[in-house]
Amino acid sequence: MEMDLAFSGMSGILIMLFYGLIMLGIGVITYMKNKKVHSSLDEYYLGGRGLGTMVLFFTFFATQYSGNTVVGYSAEAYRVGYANLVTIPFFIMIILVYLSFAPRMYKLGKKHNIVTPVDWLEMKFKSKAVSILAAIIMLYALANFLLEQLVAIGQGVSGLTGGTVPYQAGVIFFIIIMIAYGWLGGMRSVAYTDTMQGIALLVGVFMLLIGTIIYFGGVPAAGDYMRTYSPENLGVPEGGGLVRWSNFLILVGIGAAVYPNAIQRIFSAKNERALKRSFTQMAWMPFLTAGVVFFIGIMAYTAYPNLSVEQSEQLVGIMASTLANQNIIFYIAMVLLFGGIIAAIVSTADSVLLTFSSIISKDIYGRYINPEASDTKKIHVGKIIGVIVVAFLLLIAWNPPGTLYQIFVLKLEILIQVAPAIILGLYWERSHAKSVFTGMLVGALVAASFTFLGLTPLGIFSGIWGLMINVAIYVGGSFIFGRVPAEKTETSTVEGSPEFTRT
Amino acid sequence: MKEPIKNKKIWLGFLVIFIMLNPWYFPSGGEPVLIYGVPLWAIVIIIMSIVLSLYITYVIHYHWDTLDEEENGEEK
Repeated sequence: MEMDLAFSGMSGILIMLFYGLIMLGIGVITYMKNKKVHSSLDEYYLGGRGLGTMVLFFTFFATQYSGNTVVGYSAEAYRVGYANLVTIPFFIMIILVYLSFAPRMYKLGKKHNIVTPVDWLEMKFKSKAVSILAAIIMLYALANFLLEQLVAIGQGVSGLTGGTVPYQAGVIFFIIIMIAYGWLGGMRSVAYTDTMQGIALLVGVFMLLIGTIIYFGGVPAAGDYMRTYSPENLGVPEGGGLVRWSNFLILVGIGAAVYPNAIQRIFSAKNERALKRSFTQMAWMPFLTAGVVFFIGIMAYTAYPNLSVEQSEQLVGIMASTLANQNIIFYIAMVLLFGGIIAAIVSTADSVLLTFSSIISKDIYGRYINPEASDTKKIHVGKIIGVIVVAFLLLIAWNPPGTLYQIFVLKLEILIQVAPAIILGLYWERSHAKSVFTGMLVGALVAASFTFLGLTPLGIFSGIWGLMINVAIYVGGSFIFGRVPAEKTETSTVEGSPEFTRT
Repeated sequence: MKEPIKNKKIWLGFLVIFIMLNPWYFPSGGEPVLIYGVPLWAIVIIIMSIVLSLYITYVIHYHWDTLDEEENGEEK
């Protein structure tokens, strides 16, 4: 549909340039302040394990919430109505899952200089098979996640500027900026830009909410309208809808918590206090992000009642354009929102890319290819491979394969299969490496094949089926073959700190 | 040293909240009850979400204390 977008033409280009330059500036300043950043993996990939509460919070925030949270989720709420309310609790579930492993993971990370989640698995299971399989699964999920962000950057930029900035130009511009600041300052740059990006997004979304209430009518009006024209969007999820709902809580809760880039942020915390405070704040963010976005989608009902699926995807763009044309305050606010949405995508992409490189540096190159290499060399290799992967993903983004498309959509379903090894491995000494490996492999295969075949027996997601089978093999195998080393059990009882007892 | 995972009661609490976060306990069909335009069941879910966030805040504050290296000395 043709819309008169407020940011088409020069103003759109200027906004993009402005945001890009700020990000780059943050990267340069970070580099000037920390010139030794390339000297060690800790410095480059974990910001020297020194992120304080605020920066840590925003980097968690930016990693968890992408531009898609605003653009996609409001469109989804518009289409399916209140059944999509599940987005609020599923983001809170992520923090709940963190609580099951982050406290100990943080301590172990500090004690043993762990840089990536694969590091931890290697330390725990001492099994090449487990480490390599987990690394492959993580790299695969990260690459797909990155691909999604690259596509989103292009669509976002061209959509928000009404096509003035072509898709490809938008992607290339922001990727160059992103790689530049990432290379300059590593995790510190990523975390500082996350802070700026997070603030822009929060302010923009909040203003969009206010504008929506003022100009499009509030929630009560939308409720009355829905009751008359589409009461099904007000109803309680039942049957299959209810299973979907609970599957979402589990899949997103566990899957997003074991994202390698999320786990790395646990290692980056300056101290336990900073980590606890960031998590506490994160537990409340879903209301300000997913919640606000959800209600924006609901309120759009009265103003734009009959959008097609395709049109509804542009809902936020349409609403923001309308608001920007009202007055100067909303114009500025919508500039912030547009920039914030793009920034949110970039900030998710940068953390994914950094973690991808870290697994290459530490777990593939540094462990199996050239263990003698200096940290600087490892970082270098991680960077180069990262850029090659981005280039490859760009090719896919521009020529999406028709038939194998699903290969590039699989993310959480596969990634969630590393969760048992990461979480259960922390606490269960009996864990048996070969069973862990088999469970992870079978779980991933089941999840992937069910997804390709479109199988959801009993309405349960393919990823959850994989996870259940995975855990069954892990637990069953460990009960039969697992051993608890006798002398180590004693130490653990004596010292009361089971983390000293690794099998 | 306090770790949330070790306290079974905490997880019982989470389990109860999780069960209540799934909207299985509302009557099906019928005219939706709206309060300020929001269906009643959705309000209950939002309240349960707030309860979950509150509970997480409480657990982080009172049941997670494993002491940092820089502050400890007799970490056991």
